[in-house]
Amino acid sequence: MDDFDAYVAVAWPRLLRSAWLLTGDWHRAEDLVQTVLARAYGRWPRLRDGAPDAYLRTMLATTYLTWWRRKARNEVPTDPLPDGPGRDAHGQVEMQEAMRRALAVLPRQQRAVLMLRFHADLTEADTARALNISVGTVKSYTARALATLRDDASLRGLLTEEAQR
Amino acid sequence: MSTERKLAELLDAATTDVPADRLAPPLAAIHGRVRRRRRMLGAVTAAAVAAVLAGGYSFGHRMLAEPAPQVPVGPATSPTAASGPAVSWVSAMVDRNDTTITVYAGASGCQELAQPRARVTAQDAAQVTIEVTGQIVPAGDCATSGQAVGVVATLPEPLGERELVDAVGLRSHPTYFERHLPDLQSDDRWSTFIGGWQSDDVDWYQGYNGPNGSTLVLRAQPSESVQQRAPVGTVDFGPYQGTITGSSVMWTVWWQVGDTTYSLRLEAVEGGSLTLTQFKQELSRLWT
Repeated sequence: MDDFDAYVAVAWPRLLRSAWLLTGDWHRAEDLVQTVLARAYGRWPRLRDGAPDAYLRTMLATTYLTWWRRKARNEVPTDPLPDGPGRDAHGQVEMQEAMRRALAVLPRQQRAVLMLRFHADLTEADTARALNISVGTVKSYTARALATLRDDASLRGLLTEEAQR
Repeated sequence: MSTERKLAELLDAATTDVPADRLAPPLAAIHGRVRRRRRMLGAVTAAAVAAVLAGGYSFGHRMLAEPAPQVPVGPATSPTAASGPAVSWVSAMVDRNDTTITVYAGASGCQELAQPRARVTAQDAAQVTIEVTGQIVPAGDCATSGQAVGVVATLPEPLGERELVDAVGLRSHPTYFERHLPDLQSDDRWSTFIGGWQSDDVDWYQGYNGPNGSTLVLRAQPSESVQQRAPVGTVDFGPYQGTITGSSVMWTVWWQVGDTTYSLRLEAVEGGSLTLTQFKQELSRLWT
């Protein structure tokens, strides 16, 4: 299916980014996206005319939730941080590290909800359907996740900085 | 601007910088996974269809394998049927004692395998056939369904060089051996943590919490599916020679036995690091 490959060629980076929000690690993110795309391949004729991004991001979330469960606090290994002069001129690495650290302390369900709501741009109702939970639970997870992120000193600073722009 | 909108922008900004070596989609690897997945699903489907067409196949097979039953047996749906219909399993781990076999099975979609049981239904000098039975029921939570379930069968004598065969479809699946892994159960520095994986994943995993917040994950997988990164060195440990990949955050050693590749990944505590020398020292210690 040539159009599957063409879609993957274009969608790969954005799916990888969504997966990173779940795994906090580029290697695992790539593994997760590959797993999901391999599963989606057989369904591609039905997916291609709909909204494949939303469908695949939902698959990313549900697959992530059924993956190898690791202890809560240490579940996100870190890729080595890139460094070198000029590499982080705009604080990109710092921001990524702050976000990775903040997401790492969230329970998996909350992280999945954040990814679907705020990166895949799903509505609360769509997120609830995707994860087979109630809209109330989506709201509750969102509120708890936001509260946790606000408690992170680095992220609070970044959020404030963003707000002031 | 609302906090939610700010967060969306921050999530977007935090993930903008995808490493250059990850930007190209690994199409060949994805298609490889598709082929492996199709082979596995095709075999499972064929086996399920064959079992249905054969009617009391699994029942009859059990009759061949075991001593005469103590009670009269009827059709497969009689109360004497173990715990439900026979289901295919996907991988097996052979205990260090060579007689305890844990086979892994599960259900696809938003379903779960309930009340699974495993038993030996036939054995000879070349093969041991294991049947898993259970009920496929709707999952209570689709977000967490599909987990592989380990079911234990005990052999009357060691497996030895014999092949394990699935009673459904009479085919073999990846079979792993604890004897090729370090014995962390007897090392009191390490404690097992609960983990799981999806039931269509033929790989096997076990994680441990270790000294100073470190984490260790053992994995076994068919060598054909290994995606190994560029090695940084080799190491001899126990009877094996392995290749090492990773960095000071997380090292992995890979070694091959037959068609199986085993790996051991050691992660430093979050924010910490581990030198390659320290990793090799830990490997030596684990195999002494």
